[in-house]
Amino acid sequence: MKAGADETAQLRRREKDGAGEAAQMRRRDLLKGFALGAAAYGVPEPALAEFVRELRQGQYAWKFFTAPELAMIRPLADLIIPRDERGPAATEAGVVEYADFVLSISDDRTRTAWREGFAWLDEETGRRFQKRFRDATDAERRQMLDDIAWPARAAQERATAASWFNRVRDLIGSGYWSSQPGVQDLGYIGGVFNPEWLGAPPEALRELNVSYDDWDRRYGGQR
Amino acid sequence: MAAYELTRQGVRVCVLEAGGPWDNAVDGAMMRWPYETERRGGWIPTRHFGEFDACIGGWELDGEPYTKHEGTSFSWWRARMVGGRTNHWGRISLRFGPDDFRRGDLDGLSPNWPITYEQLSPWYDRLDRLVGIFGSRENLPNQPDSIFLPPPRPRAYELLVMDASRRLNVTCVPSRLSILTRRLNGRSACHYCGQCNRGCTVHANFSSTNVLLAPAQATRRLTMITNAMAREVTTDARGRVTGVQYINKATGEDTHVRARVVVLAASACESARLLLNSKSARFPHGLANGSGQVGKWLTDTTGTDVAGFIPRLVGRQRYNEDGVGGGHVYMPWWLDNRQLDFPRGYHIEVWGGYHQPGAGFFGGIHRYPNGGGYGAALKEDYRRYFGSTVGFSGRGEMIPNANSYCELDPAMKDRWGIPVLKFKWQWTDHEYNQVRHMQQTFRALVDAMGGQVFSAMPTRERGYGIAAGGTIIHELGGARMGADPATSVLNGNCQAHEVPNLYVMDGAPFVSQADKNPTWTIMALAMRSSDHLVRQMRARAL
Repeated sequence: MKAGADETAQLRRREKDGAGEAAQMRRRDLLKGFALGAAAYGVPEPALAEFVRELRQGQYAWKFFTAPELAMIRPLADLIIPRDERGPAATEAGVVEYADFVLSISDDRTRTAWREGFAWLDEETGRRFQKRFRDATDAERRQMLDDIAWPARAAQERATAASWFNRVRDLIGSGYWSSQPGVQDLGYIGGVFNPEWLGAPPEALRELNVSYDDWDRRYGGQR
Repeated sequence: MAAYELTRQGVRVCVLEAGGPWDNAVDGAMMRWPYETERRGGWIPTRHFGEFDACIGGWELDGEPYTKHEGTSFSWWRARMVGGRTNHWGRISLRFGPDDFRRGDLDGLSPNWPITYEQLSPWYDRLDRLVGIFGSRENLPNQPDSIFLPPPRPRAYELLVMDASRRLNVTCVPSRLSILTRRLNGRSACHYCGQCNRGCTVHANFSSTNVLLAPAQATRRLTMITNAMAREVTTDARGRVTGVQYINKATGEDTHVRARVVVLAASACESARLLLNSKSARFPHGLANGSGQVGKWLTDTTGTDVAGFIPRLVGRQRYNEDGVGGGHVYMPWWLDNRQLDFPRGYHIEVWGGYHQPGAGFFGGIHRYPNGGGYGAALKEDYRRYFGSTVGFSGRGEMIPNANSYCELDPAMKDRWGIPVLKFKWQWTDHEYNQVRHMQQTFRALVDAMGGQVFSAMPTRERGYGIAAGGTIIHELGGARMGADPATSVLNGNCQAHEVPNLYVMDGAPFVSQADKNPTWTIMALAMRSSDHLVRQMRARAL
């Protein structure tokens, strides 16, 4: 247990050296984690077991996205979560594989909505720029997203597309922030042994203009 | 609890468990990171609350169906593992209050219990000392204090919640959770990782595997048979129970275990199902069901949630805000129902803050002030908005009614050929009006914190956002206690009126709900009933 916690802390302290490293690290963590997990659960989910088998063979076999959809979701994912000084882009953090896996075990309604969204995006890009989304320039792709990425101000006829894009953003977003580099980027610093709970540090209280004075008077002590 | 108490008193006990073995120390997923698996800790078929959750089970189980009357919305949670539902709960450990045992006298909408708070109080005391619970002495009306370990300080946002509550005259006090803030009975104190639901590897919180079954096993008087699906309770010509017939799920073999006394503790509905399935010439409508009351007066806790975005929390300093696995503060019922349009109360649970990102993290960011978007600005929004959401969950008392019950489905059987349950469920205005009040209160709290709520107030047509029956997983009733054998199944000792060597020690004996979670009362009742059972055995009455 203790060793696990230390290892976790180490992992989080480790500097990211770039996309390739991040992806590799992720794969190692994943395999290690799954080895633990399989033992813990006795009988692992068959789908998860298959996923790990594939990773061990060094490649992920796509389960939901078709090749044309992959050519769309990759640029879409990186438009949603681009690389910046604090973290990698979505594709570099393995988010497209994550999305594919989740969709492969999702219900039919969700899967259909995703496929219809891709179809709409390609048709609409065709109408406006006479090309497929995968062949559009970065500026053209952004123009497409500008019309659907803010649902409250999207035109009525794009309401369905906008709600599809909500799904895309939610899945890509959660995939990024729950990835190992995403957790580091976010600055989530829990999930560790914390033998003494003191509550929030003084600065965190000061900025909210609250204090433990009343609480400690009433309920006593440091915790 | 019965296995613990009975083995301690020298009784040899055989536990039949429908699921497999489980040991938190070995099997728990504490300290794992969502990115260690491709599902990122999300929903999987055997774990509806995420793949790291300790509880194996769900609302739908392969090969174990149930049916519903037309128009009924009800979901039945089953845990299939040693320790059962104690592997799945928020450790919210609230004593029922004196009024909760005498609602018949107070509003007449459900009967009095055959026992009083004063009778149960010493057993709550023993339970507090055995299991451990933190909280604070408050002397609130109908919210009895326990014997508490010190409560942990609240998280930063919970101080804002306390402040808003004070301004709205809503009572807000330290939570009462069965998590150790000090060492107790050889168990370690909490290390504040916030992952109680994964099964605590160091046993710092309560589940019956940790705290009750291990010591029961140490007496060498406990035989645990796992993967044993009980089919029926067997009886002799005198109408006494003789044991339990079960199916070995591994081999399919039908097996009988003989017993001097049978204790049902399979969860409220499953115990009712076993009674209904135990038919004989002497008990043609099911065991101990001469009154026709088995399966009746089924209740669940009412529930609804509201979350809000709190601008004051945007971009605040990061710190390890995990704390214990649950809110550090809560609001016990604080109003007088005589001045309201609903007769029973509710309590409020608080959530929010910097929690571990996993599957589904930060869904719906388009509802935040920047309205969605993409790219560098969106990425920065996620960082800034992280930890700025606060949510409230109401958990209230449903009044038992004649239209909420379970019975045997006339045709359908499960994979082992055992007849399955059919549910009927109906809320009344008692519950709808209460849930409307929850919604209004939570919206006022978010407002008082300077925040904005994400969703519009649900309409009457949508039941004011009431959670479907069974989804709060607090089913109670189905074999209720009572003084009168014509209107109840069990006496005040949870012993069947018609069959002295049959006891029920789960949620089924409950006469009514309360504005409190039921676990602490289920356990105190089981302690008390086990004590009765042992005395009866010693007196050779059983």
